Amino acid sequence: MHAAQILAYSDVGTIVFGWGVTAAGVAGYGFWLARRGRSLSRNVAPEDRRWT
Amino acid sequence: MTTLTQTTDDTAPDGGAGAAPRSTGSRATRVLGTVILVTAPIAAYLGLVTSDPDVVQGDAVRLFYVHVPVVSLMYLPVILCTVASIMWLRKRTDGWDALASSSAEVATIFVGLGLVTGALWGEITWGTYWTWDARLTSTALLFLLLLGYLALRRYPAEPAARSKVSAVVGILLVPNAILVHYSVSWWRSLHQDATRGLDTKMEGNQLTTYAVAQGVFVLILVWLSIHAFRVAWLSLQAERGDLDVAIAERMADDDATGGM
Amino acid sequence: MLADARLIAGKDLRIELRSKVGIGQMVPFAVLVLVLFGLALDPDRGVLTRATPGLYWIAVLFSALLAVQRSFAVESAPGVAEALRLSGIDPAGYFLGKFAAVAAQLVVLQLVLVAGVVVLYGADLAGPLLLVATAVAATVAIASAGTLYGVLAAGLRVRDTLVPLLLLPALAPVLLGATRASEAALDGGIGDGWGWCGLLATFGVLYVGFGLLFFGTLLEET
Repeated sequence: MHAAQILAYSDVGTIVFGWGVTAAGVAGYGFWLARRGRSLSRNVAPEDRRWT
Repeated sequence: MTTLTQTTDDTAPDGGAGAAPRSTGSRATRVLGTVILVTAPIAAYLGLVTSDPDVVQGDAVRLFYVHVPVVSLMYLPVILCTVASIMWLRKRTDGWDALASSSAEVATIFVGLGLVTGALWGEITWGTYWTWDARLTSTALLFLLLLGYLALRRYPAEPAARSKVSAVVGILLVPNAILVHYSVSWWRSLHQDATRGLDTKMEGNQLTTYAVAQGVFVLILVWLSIHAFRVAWLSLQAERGDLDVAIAERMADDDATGGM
Repeated sequence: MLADARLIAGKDLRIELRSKVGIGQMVPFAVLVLVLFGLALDPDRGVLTRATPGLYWIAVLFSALLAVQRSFAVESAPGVAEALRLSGIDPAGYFLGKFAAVAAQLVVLQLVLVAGVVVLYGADLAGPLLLVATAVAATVAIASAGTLYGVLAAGLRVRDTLVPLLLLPALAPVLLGATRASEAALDGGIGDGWGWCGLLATFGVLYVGFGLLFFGTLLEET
């Protein structure tokens, strides 16, 4: 129902693209960090990774 | 909110070696992450659907809800990198090194996103992605400075030498950014005031939307910074571990062959 | 400190005088850049004359990269770093010496380049006082920042790719200031010229100070 409303914006493509890029950038970096954190954790002694 | 209490699996038993986390997550970051996952869609809904178009900018104001929070926060990790670099030179501990490295990474993400959203906003408002506007130009140069720093960080060299060199470049980050900003704004002020249209008065639900978006990005910055710090810390330890293993293997080899 | 600086600068300049690598490669390279700009920007349309200050300083910047890389390539032979440490040379003096040698080469280079833009681009050297002041301040700025970033990368045994990436964005204010100041001088109207000169001087003072402070850290054994 909101889709029609959004599509009526001027420059809707640019606006949605801007939000998309931001979301993708933040999420992508976040996932990359999480994955790298997991793989690195396997190589590091437990006493060097103590955070709770 | 009851789900928040269930997120304790990060301290699962670690094969008798204690309760060390198996990832860079901790209870605090999981709570933070959950809050972000809940509030970010709300911010998107407010910004993309319910917010009124701006009187002057029209719908372009919707880009402001991502652009302004990103840009307003992007200098924090840059400053943090310089501070951590100074502290590393004084204390020489891995913690400061990891902090400098990770905050530069987060800064690069934020500055990069700020540039992209700024260019998109410019395309709508000014009709062009790029103008040699003071803010755009100095931000682009800051981005390049950060890329140089990250390239230095990634450079395969002896860890101790790399930390030392990175610290000095990291200290120069803020002075360089200030020099660039100052000179570029002076340069542009000679030509014309290109930052037209930036001073929008937000009112009513626009202000609420902006406030929510700003809040979400603060949380995102904190979450990313914590995880980036832990990853940087782990990679420092892993690098050292690799070195230890290599030395141990080498010694074992020498023993096996009679020590030469 | 100053005696050490003189020693190092003298050594570097003697190497350059004898090997002729700097003069034989850097200066021709800079002139080549000037000629290439001429080819790229059709000389008949007046673009060259208008863009002279910018093109001149770009040529200086690129040549300065060569000078910096050369300056630390000389030191990268095995054992040189250890020998330097053992010789007890003051790190600040070492920085000043390296800086002075690079600056001296840049001055020679600029003398040739100025002749080049006068001959090739038809530049009319108005406002000589401001021009000289700009050239001096910009040379100090480029040489100090170049020396600092040069030794940074030399410590990592990498020179060719990392130095430009680190140095050029940091030198953006210098390019801007030197270009605007020279433009003001060439236009005859001094205008903001001295202000830009002040910016260049600030930059130079900052980087020289920084080099004096941190060179010891950079040279210490890891």
